[in-house]
Amino acid sequence: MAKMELAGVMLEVDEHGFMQETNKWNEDIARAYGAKEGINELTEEHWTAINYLRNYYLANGICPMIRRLIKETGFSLKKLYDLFPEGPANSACKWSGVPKATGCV
Amino acid sequence: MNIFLVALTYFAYIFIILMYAVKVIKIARLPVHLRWELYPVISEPKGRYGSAYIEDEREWRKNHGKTVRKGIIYLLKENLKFSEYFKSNRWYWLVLFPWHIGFILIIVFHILCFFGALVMIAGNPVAADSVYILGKIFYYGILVCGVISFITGAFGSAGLIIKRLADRDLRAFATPQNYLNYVFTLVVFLSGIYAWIFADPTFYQYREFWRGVVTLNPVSVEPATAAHIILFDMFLIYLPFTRSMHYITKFFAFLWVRWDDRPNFRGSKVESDIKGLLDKPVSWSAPHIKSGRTWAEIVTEKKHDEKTP
Amino acid sequence: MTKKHLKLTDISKEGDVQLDEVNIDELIPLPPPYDKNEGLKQLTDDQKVRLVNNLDGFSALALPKPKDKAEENKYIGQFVAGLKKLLSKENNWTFLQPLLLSLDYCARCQTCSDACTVYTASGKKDIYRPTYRTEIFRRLINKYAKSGGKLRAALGAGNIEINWGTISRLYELSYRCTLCRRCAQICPLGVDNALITRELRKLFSQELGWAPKELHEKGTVLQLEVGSPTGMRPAVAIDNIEFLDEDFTESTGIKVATPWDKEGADVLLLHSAGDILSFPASVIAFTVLCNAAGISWTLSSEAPGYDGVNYGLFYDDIQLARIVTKHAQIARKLKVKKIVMGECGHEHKALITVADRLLIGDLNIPRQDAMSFLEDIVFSGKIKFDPSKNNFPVTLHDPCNVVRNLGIVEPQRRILRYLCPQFREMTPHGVDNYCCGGGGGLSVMSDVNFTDWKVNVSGRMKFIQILEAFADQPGPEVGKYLCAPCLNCKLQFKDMFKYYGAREKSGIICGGLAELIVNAMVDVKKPFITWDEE
Repeated sequence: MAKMELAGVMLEVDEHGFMQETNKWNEDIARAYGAKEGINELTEEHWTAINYLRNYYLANGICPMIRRLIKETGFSLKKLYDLFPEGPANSACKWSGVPKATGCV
Repeated sequence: MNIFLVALTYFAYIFIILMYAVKVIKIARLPVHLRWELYPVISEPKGRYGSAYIEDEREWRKNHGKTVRKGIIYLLKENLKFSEYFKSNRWYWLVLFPWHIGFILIIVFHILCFFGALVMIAGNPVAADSVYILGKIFYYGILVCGVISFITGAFGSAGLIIKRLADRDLRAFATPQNYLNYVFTLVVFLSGIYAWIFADPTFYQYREFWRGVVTLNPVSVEPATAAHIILFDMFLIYLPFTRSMHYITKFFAFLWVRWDDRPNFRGSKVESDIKGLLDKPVSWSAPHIKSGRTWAEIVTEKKHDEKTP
Repeated sequence: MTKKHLKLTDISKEGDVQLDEVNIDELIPLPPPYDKNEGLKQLTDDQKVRLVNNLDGFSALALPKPKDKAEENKYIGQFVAGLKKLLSKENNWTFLQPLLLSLDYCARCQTCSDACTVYTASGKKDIYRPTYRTEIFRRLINKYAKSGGKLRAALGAGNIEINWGTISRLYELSYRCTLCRRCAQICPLGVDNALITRELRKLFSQELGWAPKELHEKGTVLQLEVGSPTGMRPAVAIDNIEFLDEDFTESTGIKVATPWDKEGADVLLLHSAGDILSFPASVIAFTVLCNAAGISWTLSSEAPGYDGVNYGLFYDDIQLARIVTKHAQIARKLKVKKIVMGECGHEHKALITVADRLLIGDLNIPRQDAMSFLEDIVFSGKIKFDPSKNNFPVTLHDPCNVVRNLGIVEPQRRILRYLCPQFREMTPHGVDNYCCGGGGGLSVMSDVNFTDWKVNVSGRMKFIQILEAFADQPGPEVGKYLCAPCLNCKLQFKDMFKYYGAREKSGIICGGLAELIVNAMVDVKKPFITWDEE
């Protein structure tokens, strides 16, 4: 298993850098992920999306549908790509500390 | 010597027939497998553009009534024409086709010799000037088949050696045994040509030899003809150890796998076969399988010996 | 650059040696504006240290390097044991006869190579020949699993050594084939190299416990545990679909609702749950159509009755059988008349034909493909259509598992000819089609740098075909629709179109068949298909 140090914590990650132990996540880790992708400051809007994603994942064991994410956060897809350079699945989910989506998605 | 040739011939034919029979029975007795057909399935009514009866299954399995006749005819034709090779791999076809024509005709040649012997025994001479039409037919049939077979076969064998050596892609996949096979067939066909030119231009000796085989009354032949007979018999004995069976197994590969779209009807033999197979034990070692149970138990996640409710 | 020629015995080279590499300028060229090469993603230095990387510079499987010789030897021993089990009637009755017919009678004529989408796209790399892996595998079986094999190998029947390099390379190489079976179709002797490849995958999975994590651990295992490889549990599935129904109702004013667990319904519709997440329009379209046509239908909320995928088809007979059995049991419990597939190719093949000889008695419930189901709806006369609403260029991708492997060719075409005035075929199409490049489970696999291989190599022929089909209106100003009635294919196209920017550069989007039908409905006023980013 690959390892990566983020915000001073050694994390188990998959080959794309997604965290494998979601309970080790904290806000600094999200910031560190963002910085790696060139977003040096996480805004209120980032946190809205990250918190929604994370809470949804913790409650349901899976990331929400994009349409639901759009509806619940009020951000358009374009807006989500502006906030998260690699998009909701590859950036937002990763920064939220949840595993990469699999299974025909 | 004469008696040896006859004995060897009997042995070679019995050997190859037995070996082939054993192999065919082995394949035929393998258990029924999961469906793995590939379209177009030639026997389907709409098979021309690839459609299966499944397209029309609103009425579950009412439309299935197909025949294997079409498939068998197609495969037989294909065995004589090699049109699939002609379409997709022409240079290879150019040597493969004569090689196989050599085999087919050499078999026809021997079949004609055998029946020619019967014709002779019945009192009709087999000769160019025979007064019996049957005698003429066998005379020319044997002559034409033999000559064409030897020539095309020798051309094909030599051609395949060259093709397989010259084409890097083919060479990479060739084994020493491949080349041995080609050289062997080349020698068989060349010995036929040699005997025909120098010892037996009308196959008179060959026909007489076959009369001797049938009547168990060996006649003597010239050394060149004897050499060809021995080589051909050895070739027959060697054949079961090569891939030559594909001429026959091809029918199974197509009819029993590629075109096998027989549904599993309730109460059918297929179904009862499957029931039996699901009771077979599994011993695969990967942890997720949890072996030591039967297929049925594993698939339904029952513990061994747990009674079906 | 000179082409690298490989010998069969190269497979056994010292464990760490990389056998070949893919250079983007060796691949067959793409037409402009896609002819600019960006280079392919390499393994990072850290990955090179940890992971086996001895094949082609790609890692689909992220196989960790073994700790020591003892570990290597353990796997080698298991591999040999697995070879023998593949030849046993008890352990492999499922495919023994086809396997032997394909192993023993190949003429090594290489006719199949040119039929292979991967081999052709790669610029004819030896390593990707359909026969390269299978000939090696054949020689290993002959040598190590048959009596007298070692002697015959020494005497000239073809000799390959088993070592760590051999098995680790074969493992990775068994996932460089999309199991599309184009090679099998062209073989004059009926040899099926895709089947042999699948047997190889099976050996690794069933004996060594090696399988891509997307297919196994997060695939079939997760599906049997929670209900779906997406991780979607029953309550979440219901919640998601309710959300989609409400969303559609809100935006169109047409009230739709999805029936759940309705006992005695005519039809149990078995979507792929991935569609709910990645192509929700497909799910909504089926709901709209079933309701509009007055069909008595239901979804099931019993795990895994709401996810029709069955990755077992790609790599493991046991998992395959477990999942089809579950699906059939759920349908039996609901007392439905038949199961209808969603637009998912491998689900079709797994459940309609392959499962046919696994399901016995009352578990063998009637099953219908999505194409003829939709055809019946379209031509039932119950829904009014206006084909001019679909007046944009449409082409059809033939999913291998629906067309070449199942023989369902015409129903989807009848629909498109009726509802899409600008429908055009690709060349070649129907049972001669090229695979999308994501077949055989590849489309859900994306570990390490494998996505780059899928979009550049295995999907290349298809991408060229698509561009050619739309060559009359190549610009992005004309919206074009690739109809791919299979979730696996759609996912491959999604990756590929994103990678190449096909929507931005050529205006091409990809979706299913049901969406086109709904888009043509007179009652659905607002365009159902849009070229906005989804």
